[in-house]
Amino acid sequence: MSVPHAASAPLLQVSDLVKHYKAEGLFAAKAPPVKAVDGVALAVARGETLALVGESGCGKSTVGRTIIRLQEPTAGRVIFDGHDVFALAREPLRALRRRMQIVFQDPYSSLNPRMTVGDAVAEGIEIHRLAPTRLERNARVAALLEEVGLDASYARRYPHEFSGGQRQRIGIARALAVEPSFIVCDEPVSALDVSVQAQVINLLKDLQERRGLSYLFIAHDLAVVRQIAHRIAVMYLGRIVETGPAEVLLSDPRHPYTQALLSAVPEPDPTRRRARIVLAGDPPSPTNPPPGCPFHTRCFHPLRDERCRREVPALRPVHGTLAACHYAETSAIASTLGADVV
Amino acid sequence: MTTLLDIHDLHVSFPDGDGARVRPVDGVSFSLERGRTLALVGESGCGKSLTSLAILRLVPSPGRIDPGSSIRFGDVDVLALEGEALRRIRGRRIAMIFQDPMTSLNPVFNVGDQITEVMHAHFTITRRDARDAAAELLQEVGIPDPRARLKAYPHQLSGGMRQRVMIAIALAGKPEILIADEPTTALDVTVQAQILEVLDRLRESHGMAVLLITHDLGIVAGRADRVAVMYAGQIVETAPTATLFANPSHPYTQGLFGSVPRLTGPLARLSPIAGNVPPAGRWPTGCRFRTRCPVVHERSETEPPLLRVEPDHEMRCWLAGDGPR
Repeated sequence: MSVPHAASAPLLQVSDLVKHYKAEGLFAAKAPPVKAVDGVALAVARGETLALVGESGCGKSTVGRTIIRLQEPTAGRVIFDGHDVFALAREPLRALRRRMQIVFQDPYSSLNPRMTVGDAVAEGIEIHRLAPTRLERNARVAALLEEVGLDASYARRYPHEFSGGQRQRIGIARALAVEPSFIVCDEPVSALDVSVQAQVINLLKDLQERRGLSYLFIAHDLAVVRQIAHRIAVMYLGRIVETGPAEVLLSDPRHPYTQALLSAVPEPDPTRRRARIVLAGDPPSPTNPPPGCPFHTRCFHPLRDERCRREVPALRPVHGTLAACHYAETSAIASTLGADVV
Repeated sequence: MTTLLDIHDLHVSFPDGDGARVRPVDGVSFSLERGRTLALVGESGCGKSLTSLAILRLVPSPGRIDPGSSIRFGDVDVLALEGEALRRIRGRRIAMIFQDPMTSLNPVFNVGDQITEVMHAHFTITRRDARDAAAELLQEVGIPDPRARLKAYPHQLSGGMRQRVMIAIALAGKPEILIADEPTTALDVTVQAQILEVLDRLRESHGMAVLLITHDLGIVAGRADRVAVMYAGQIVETAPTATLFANPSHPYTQGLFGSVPRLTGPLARLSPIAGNVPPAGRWPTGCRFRTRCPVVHERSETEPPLLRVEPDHEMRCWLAGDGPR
């Protein structure tokens, strides 16, 4: 997919974002902080989808939540359409929130079980006084439900009456209610069956086209990401290790971690043989990240050496992407997607 | 090939509250061969998990396995077993792992206790030997420093590690059949790849039969020997994996394939099945898929039987070329 409006200034510009969590409890003063996000920079253009990809615990959700100030940052700067988000006072922040929304992985836990679907969707409309009359409010709710592929009559029902996919549609309708220009989609399809997942992906794409929305799409599955992203940023241990246009990053990944993520995606084709890299173990703890390259403890690059254990690689241009690997010019494997590797 | 488990015409029913019964599993038949993997594929609500629970006689109350159903494990009639005889099969000869290991692991016992408990329940074994065997199992499922991990509690482990512990517990009874119900659905793709590799390796080294229950055709490829696709309580298509992937024929199966996002090939819009699986009791008469089917067929008001598509490939759809078997 080509990037729309690539020439104009980005809608969202994040620089040097840091979020450390202090340890809690008796010995908290001496405990090192959890470095959930450790210097992240990214930009999202109008009408664009940037996918933020990585394993559980890499800090991708924290980035999403900190950008819209659901969590306060430790350091960094976020400029949203000319506004300095972290410098805003309560009232102007509230006004800006109307334009920045979030959709969660589990819409059920974000919907009040005692509130009808209609009231849940209307909440933002009421907070931001977007409908002067009850009649108008209800008409808006009905239109929103229909826009996300639900029956308008569902407004009177309760969240527990719906399946996971329908609840995710309700969560999307709720986000759309305040007419945002930017939505953080935090693993919106990870908990869904493939068939429902596909429906929701198509819905998000259609809404983007119709409303000119920008998405920060947080996910761990690159095949899902390929369907929706214009650009991709891969995160590992609180940092972006590779970023670039989706088609380049997916076809010619330069960071070994990106290559490993790609090879982990199951493909429904028994005749296709791909390079299969199964990463050993879990990522190291963000409380005590390894020195040097954060990935060196799991790296399989044939050239990995002492330098990787000592020196943090900078994010730098390599072929068509930016990659944070000292040896990104040499692919760690012959071809991630080519045939006959294994 | 030795048939280990033979399921014939399995019906599971629940009272619907109005004196009638609904049947979320409605006439399912398949068999499992030694050392082979059968994948049972379908969306949430199609009846695949309930089918696997029925094999272990774990259908939750007030549900029941209806008369006329048959589950044979070797020459044992599983539906006739009671008490001790049933326990000797459940968890011992047939083991099961679930999607969410956190809810299936006991939070107040350490990993070692939960593995050795299975061994003490089924074998005569000393505490020390059980401990050693447990450490060996943890090693086998890819847990580093297994001796130390025996003392760990579930909350101290990551999701992937917990699922490995679940597999180790399942293996502790040296089962002949492993039922894996969405074993990787809640996990990251990288951890999913690790767990699937462990399962593949164990199936080969232990010669187990595996019943893999999943909604994701991606993990079926290259793993299962045979696939049975379920919809609305019935098997709607079944064939060897290579055959099914080369020629998916039931519109439902085609819809499942159309839903899987791919990394390779031209980038095309996903073409999922419209709507959701209707709940048991609200399935349409005639072909149960007709309300979501993109194909309109003159005979869709009549329920199709399993019809032959090609040798060893059947589907429950009137579009099958050859007509009735």
